[in-house]
Amino acid sequence: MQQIINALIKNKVFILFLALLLFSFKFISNRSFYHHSKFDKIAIGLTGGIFNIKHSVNEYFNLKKINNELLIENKKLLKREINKNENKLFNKSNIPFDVFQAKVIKNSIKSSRNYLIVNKGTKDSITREMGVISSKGIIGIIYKVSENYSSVISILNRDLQINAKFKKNNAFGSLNWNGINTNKVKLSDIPVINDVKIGDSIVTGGMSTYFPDGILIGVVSDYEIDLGRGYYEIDVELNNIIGNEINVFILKNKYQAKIKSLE
Amino acid sequence: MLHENIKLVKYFILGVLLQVLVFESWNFLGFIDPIFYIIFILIYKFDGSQIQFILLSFTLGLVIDLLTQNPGSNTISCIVISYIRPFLINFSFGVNADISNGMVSGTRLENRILFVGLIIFIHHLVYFSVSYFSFSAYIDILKNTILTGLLTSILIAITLGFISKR
Repeated sequence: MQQIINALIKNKVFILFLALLLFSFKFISNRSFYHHSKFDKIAIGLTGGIFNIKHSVNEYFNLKKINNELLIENKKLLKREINKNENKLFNKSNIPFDVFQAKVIKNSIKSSRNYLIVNKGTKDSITREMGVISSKGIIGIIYKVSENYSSVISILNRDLQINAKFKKNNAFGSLNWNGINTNKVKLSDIPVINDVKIGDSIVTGGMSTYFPDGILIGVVSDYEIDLGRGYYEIDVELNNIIGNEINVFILKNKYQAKIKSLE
Repeated sequence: MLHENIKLVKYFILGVLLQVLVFESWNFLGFIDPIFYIIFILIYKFDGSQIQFILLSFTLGLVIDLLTQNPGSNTISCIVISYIRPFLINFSFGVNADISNGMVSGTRLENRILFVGLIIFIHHLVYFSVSYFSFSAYIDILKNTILTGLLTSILIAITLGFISKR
């Protein structure tokens, strides 16, 4: 103990220098948006690098599980491919979304504003505001991008609102997490004239540029009517478990810039 | 001792006022604003407490940043230069590094010029690196460091000459 104190006293000038320097960086980051985003980029790069190592170890031990998932996914894709050939109306050039494959290397579900980090960045032509989905449902939207990594605002983030609708009758509303249960989200703004049953499927609405129409989000697990406003408050149980997702797909809407310029 | 401290406070306030009121909006050749407050860092006594000096420099940078709406480049460059100043004093003045008032009297002119040059160059380099904060802007950083550094050096040389004569 005495030695530690002696070492501290001996290096007091350097410690003071470091403390003031850290304070100054915090100060500059609070006062300047430019510096803030630069620091964010560096931080994403660093955490990305660290978690990438952790991820590669985990990945090795999870190979069996991932293989099973891939098999199921392949089966699904094959089925879709066959259906596609039957449906002559489906024209490939009409698809507005490009798909990039990525891996989640950091995932948090503990806070009320959760983020993920994925191992693709500007180098892989990822930009901000791209949708992220997994084979089982939606994950979130790309928030910040560094050269090799990107952070994703998780669907389990209170700031995120996603356009969603009922699969059966296309009644649409907005989906938001209330910060409590990690496998449930709230669907609001569905007018009471619509018929709602427990077990109804909720899919993406296709009104935003982030996600295509009709990606499964979850099923209705409970609902109540807000009589004062004339809308349902619907609990949706997510189809995917966000905390367990490893393989994700990033969707790039080719027409996003054009659509945004019209909004 | 008290007389010394009053003198330091005087240079501190003078540096801040001149910087904020005159040099910050000078825009010589359209983009060069000399950094005059560095005079305080230069003439602070050589054998003073290092901790006290770092805290004073930090305050100096912070005050300038707050008064000029700068995000924080002055604070960071002041802290860095105040931390490495003892090494620069030893490097520039060698055996004369223990002369308390070495910047004003008792040392050779070429040693003082080396010291002033080093302090100004490193301070400006840190200042502009933090301001631009991008590797790709290295040409702008170097251009600004050299041009602003030259103007600052001229101003500081005139002021130091004036102080020495007095």
